[in-house]
Amino acid sequence: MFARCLCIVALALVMSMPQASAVHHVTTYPTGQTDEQIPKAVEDVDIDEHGARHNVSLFSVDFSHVRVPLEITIWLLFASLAKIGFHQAPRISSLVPESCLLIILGLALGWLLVLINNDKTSSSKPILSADVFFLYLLPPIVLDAGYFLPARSFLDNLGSICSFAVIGTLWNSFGIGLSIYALCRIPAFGLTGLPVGEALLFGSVISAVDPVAVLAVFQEVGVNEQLEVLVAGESLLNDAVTVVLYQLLSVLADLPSVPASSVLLGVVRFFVVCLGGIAFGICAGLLASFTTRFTYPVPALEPILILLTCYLAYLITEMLHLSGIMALISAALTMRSYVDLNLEWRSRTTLRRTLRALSSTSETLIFLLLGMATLDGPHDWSWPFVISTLILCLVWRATGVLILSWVANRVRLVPISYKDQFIIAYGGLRGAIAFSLVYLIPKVFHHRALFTTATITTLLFTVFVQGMTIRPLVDLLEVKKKCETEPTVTEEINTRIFDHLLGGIEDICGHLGHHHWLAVFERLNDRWLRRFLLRCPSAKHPTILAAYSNLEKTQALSLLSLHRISTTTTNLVQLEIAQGEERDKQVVDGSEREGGSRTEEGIGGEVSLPVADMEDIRKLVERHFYRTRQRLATVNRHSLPVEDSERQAKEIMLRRRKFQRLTSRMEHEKRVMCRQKTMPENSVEERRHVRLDRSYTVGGYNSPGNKLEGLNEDDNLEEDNNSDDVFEFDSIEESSAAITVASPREGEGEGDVQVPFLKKECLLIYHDSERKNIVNLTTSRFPLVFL
Amino acid sequence: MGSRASSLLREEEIEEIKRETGFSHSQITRLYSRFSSLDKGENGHLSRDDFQRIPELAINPLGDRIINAFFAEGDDQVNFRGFMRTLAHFLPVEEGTQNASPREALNSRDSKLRFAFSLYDLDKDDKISREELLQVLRMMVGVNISDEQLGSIADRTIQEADQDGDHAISFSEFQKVLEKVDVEQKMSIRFLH
Repeated sequence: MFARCLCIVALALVMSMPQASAVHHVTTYPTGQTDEQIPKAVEDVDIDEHGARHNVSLFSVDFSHVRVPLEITIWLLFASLAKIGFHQAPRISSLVPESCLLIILGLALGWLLVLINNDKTSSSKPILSADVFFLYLLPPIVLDAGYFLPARSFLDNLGSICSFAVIGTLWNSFGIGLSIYALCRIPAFGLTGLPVGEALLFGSVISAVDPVAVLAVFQEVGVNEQLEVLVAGESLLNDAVTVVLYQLLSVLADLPSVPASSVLLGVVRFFVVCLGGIAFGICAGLLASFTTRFTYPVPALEPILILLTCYLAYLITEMLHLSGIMALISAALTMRSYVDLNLEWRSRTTLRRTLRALSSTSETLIFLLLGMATLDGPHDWSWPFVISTLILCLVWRATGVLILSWVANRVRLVPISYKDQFIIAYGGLRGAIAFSLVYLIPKVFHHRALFTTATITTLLFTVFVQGMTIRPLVDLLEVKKKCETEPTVTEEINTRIFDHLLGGIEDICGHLGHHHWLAVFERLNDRWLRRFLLRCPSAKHPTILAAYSNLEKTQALSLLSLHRISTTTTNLVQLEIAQGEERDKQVVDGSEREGGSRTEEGIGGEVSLPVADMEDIRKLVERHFYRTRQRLATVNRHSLPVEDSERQAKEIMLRRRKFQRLTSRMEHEKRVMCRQKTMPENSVEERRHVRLDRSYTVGGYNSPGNKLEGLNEDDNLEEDNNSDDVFEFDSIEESSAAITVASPREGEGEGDVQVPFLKKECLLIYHDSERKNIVNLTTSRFPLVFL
Repeated sequence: MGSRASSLLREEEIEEIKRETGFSHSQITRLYSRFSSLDKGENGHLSRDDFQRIPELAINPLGDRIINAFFAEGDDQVNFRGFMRTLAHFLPVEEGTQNASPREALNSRDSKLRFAFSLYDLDKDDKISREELLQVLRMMVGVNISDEQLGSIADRTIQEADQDGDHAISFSEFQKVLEKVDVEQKMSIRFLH
């Protein structure tokens, strides 16, 4: 493990050598020559340091030609290898969050480069310039955060998030700024002469909670969803405040007195910045959704199109000095629901993976370059200043969170507990945004170096100390609550049951129903936006659609295998006889076949199994029980959480559908058996006739069981069952003779044979005439095309 | 939509529901508008299909059982009174009826536990047998857990709770084993005022 780290570090050193020596290489060229005059590599003559010409050389190096891409590639590769290296050493990475390790590595590299490269002129430009950061490195992270933000929690907590973001940041900035100013009046500090404007500017720079650091740390800590959305949301939304404050104060800082009109202007400007950013973001989101409506012939373009549209919005808002982060967030939130419906699942996966890749790389680079840039730049260390900054940051954040939570708890549905408040306060990490902002401070300010040093120190302190200790603290607080009562297995299980139950009841009550405007938006959405933006406006419920469409395919296939194992009738007879256990066994068998576990025993067995250890049971419960919304694993940078919850949703739905299907089939068989005794044979014809209407739906929530047999009269179909994706035919001949599926809307046929062509790919199941076996299964737009 | 909803719900009914369940006036009107929005057939009753139209319930492992809890024995429809009566179990304990004694109110701890108990006990014999427990457990786990492991969890659960040795959990045993769990908080929703 340690050896591997050493190898990676060695590799890194080797790779950084060419750059370091290349820097030398460039600077030793004769001054008369510029880069362009240096001849290209292979075929030209070789010019050595004295300008003498030699013959054609076999081998030459032309570094400047590829300098910029090479540097970027080396840094990116290095950053990625470093990350892999950390994961190879789980002991370290469990103690120290990745961001810290990357900063340490950056520090080491920076120091190395300083040693190697004693010529200061070549490294006058800091590597992590504000431009690079704001234009290239920050947008992917913000977009990724916005895209994977749990929308429901976000909207539930929007009020609290906004209050933390706006009021909290203001409180912090002014608090820290004024306190620093007051402290600096104390002659003992030796810092007199710090004008109040500059102090406030510093306060505004240092007060903003940074999304990059917060997201990086919290995704490793794994707190519950609400808490994470509070902190992450706050860190993302406070950009607007930071932008306005920073601009305002940097203009006003050197004015002797602040006119009231400026303050008013500042407030107005805040709203302009905020709403402007959101407006551009929404436009970009709608544009992206609209274009994806037409991209089905070229699915390869989809991720690029979406990402570039959002980036365009970001750049435009940055150009207008509006809040680019808010633009990106609103773009991501807007386009998410439509894009998810428009794209095929492959494109959706590609988009998600692209976002993840970009943001992961960015984040790695940011921390690395942060470490390296620490040693750059003018520094002015002053113990009292730095220490007081640190203390003030903590104090003001804590008081701010306390007060705001107290206010918020009066109106919130789910109160923020003290433990949550502590984590919110403690998790207010500062990061690269503060760093870049401090670099942007114009050089005319005298204390710029002081600010830089203090900012960097605070940053490193929060990321290291707070970042490293937050996880043990969370565990400690959790454990403390648990240790008082030793939870029994019953308690654990029942707690989960209560959580699921509560979640279900909340959904029934329509938790968001009390947001009247949200209901209005939903109606607007359904009537106008969806028709305009979606390929298939009837597609419903995007978050579950993905699981559902996979579900249908796998379910049909498993139904196929279920049919093949035994005939339906005998199954059902057995079902009738042995009630619960058989049913469960079917369900279990089906789902196990699906999931791939290979146990043979039934569950109703009388064999007394040895009761396992408490620990084993606890582990089983922890690992295998379905997660409730509150306990859902939080955003993990290395995996895609949606796949997990989709898998869970898929399993649950598969199980329920199978159960419903089997019960309804049982009902039907009972009914058929009754009918066959009393009715003549033409009911079979009748049945066949009606069956053509029948279909399974994807994405709709039609009543279970009614979809199997057309006999059940209580077919309360949805108005538009044109989201039918699966059609059943009794026989191949029947389908060819009687079906008219010119569009999925018309399902009933009467002998017309129109061009059988479905609007979209559907799953077609062909039964034989006794409806006992599925003879064919195809995914096709042409019902007459069989395997 | 708000005004239309409350006009369909008469004041006397609201008063009655208020007395019976302990919801406040605004809560009742709000829940009535939710009830109406779920009631696609607009006949003043909800059927199981109406509940199943709620998408989040489709992916709730206990979805079917929760829906069943709303319907009384043998019924296929639930009216607004029944709807509210079931939801009243989830009022926080501090709120709720003042007239009924604290023990008998619909949102008392006992009633909440009874509701939870009825989720398990399908055949209503006042006992949770091993099979019933296994059924609930099976609904709550993923597919990668084997039957043995599940069986051992169930056995352990019964072992912890069972006091009279009948290998089943009665309601009083259920209550006792959950006495340390904060049921009042876990089974309460703050219905917005």
